[in-house]
Amino acid sequence: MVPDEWKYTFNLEGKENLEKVSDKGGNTTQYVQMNWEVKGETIDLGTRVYQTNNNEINVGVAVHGGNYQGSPGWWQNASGKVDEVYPEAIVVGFAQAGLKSLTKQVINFADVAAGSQTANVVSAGENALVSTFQYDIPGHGAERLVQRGISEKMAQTAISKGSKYFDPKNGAINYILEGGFSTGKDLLIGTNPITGAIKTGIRGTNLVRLRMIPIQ
Amino acid sequence: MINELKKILSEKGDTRKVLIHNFQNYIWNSDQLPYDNEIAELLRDLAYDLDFCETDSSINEEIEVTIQKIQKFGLNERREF
Repeated sequence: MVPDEWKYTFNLEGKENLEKVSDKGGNTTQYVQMNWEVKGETIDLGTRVYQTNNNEINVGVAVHGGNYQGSPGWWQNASGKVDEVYPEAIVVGFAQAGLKSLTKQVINFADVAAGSQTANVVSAGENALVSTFQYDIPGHGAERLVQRGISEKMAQTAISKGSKYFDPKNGAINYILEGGFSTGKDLLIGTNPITGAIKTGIRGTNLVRLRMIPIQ
Repeated sequence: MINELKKILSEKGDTRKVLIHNFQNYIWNSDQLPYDNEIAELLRDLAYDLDFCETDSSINEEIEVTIQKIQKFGLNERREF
């Protein structure tokens, strides 16, 4: 049996690896065997098929932006194979399963499965709206905001009015306020999905990355 | 651009911070980067991801992987920053 053409592995530290294994699909059809690493175990998420050229960049783009629809089934299989389930892991897992939109329904499912801890993930945005801001690394996120001329009020506006995205690689929930500055630049506030603490703040253009998953 | 990224790899301390700062500013202040779309996306990903790196080794890893991808893709640039 010819193995899948590519092997893609993603873990909770946000590390990704895409490895060429065979030439099964030739130059137009790419068979990608998906793996999710949790607590030292590699969980096989099955094979996805993409119609794209046979090079690493195109396959990487397809994996991040493909329209594959994940189902809870694989997660149930996965969760049975690990001793402990982290809420964040479930969300990351769902994201990697290809869900284009991380809905409340999905998060609620994760919440039930993980024993209510995941409520923190759901409300991460709201947590960030505390009157005194929390920063993920003491002084780190705060320093970035000051360096980049982003006031706490601006950050608060982005969190309350910006579009919300999940970044599976960096394990962050980002709030992006497009055209939030008079210069027309966008504002991104990155937060910890569990605590809601601010990780970073960026002002610039084209800040939405392909891998970011909209949260409704 | 690759030379600029390699320069970040070779520097340490405050010099490295300044070079990263300059790279990020260049990327974030450019409405349109003078590279093919795929490479521009890789550079925008890198500028963003560097904000989440907490150690020198993770910075090195992000930059090295990006350089490899750019080199595989073939850099077609019209100007340096």
